[in-house]
Amino acid sequence: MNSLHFLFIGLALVWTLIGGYVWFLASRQTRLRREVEELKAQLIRPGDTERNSSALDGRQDARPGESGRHEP
Amino acid sequence: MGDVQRLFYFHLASAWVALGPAFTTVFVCSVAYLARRRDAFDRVAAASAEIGVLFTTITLATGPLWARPVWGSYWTWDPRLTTTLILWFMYAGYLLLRSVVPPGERRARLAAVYGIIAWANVPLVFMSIRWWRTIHPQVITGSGMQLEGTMAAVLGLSLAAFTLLFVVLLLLRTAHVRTADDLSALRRSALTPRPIPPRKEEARS
Repeated sequence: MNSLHFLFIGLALVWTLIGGYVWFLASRQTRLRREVEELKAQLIRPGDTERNSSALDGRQDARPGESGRHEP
Repeated sequence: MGDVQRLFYFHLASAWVALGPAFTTVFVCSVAYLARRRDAFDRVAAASAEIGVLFTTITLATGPLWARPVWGSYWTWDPRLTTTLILWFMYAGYLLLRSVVPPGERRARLAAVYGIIAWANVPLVFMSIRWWRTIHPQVITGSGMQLEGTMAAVLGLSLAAFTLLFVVLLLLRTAHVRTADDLSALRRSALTPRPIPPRKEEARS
């Protein structure tokens, strides 16, 4: 192998490692978003109004003291 | 050296990010956590250690590829190479520690103590080429940078780009760690049954 081959392998490794880490971050982001949606779905009872959904989202129109969480 | 010399810009820049911003951030945030006990410091330390391990891996991968055509060998037990490998193992151990200990105050405290001890290896890596006999090139000496003008400019650009990449990755990863922590705390509180307060009639009787 000549010097150029080593350069090619080296650059391929560098970009694979950085790209792999960025991919890992992106997949982690997708998983977290999915978990948030699942948790929201668990916390909001079927038939609940928009009000509770707003409280979970932390929007301003949520009434004070309403956490969106329901007693079991 | 030929074309393989170009690996140097990635090798040195990734070593700089690992030893400089990344592991030093772990050290500073570990000290800050022990002093203030704020979770934010623990999260930044965790994220920074992970990115530091990534960049140390790049350093350890590109070094041997440069060394093979130049030294005739992928690896020698040179002080700089050996201390860098030990550094990689130490911070891989840091990440392992965080993954085996359950989240909470105990994990943060243990990780902070480990993060401070592990950082002791950083100046050792930096000074290894001055303290011991080595074949590793010495780019920065007491009399300045031993590089020709164009090479120094490209190296400067490379250092700036890698430092910026580190900052972006650190912000992203810290945000992930924080979201994951908040989510697990929210899940714990949502799934823990809370006692139902007694009715007024029951309370009176």
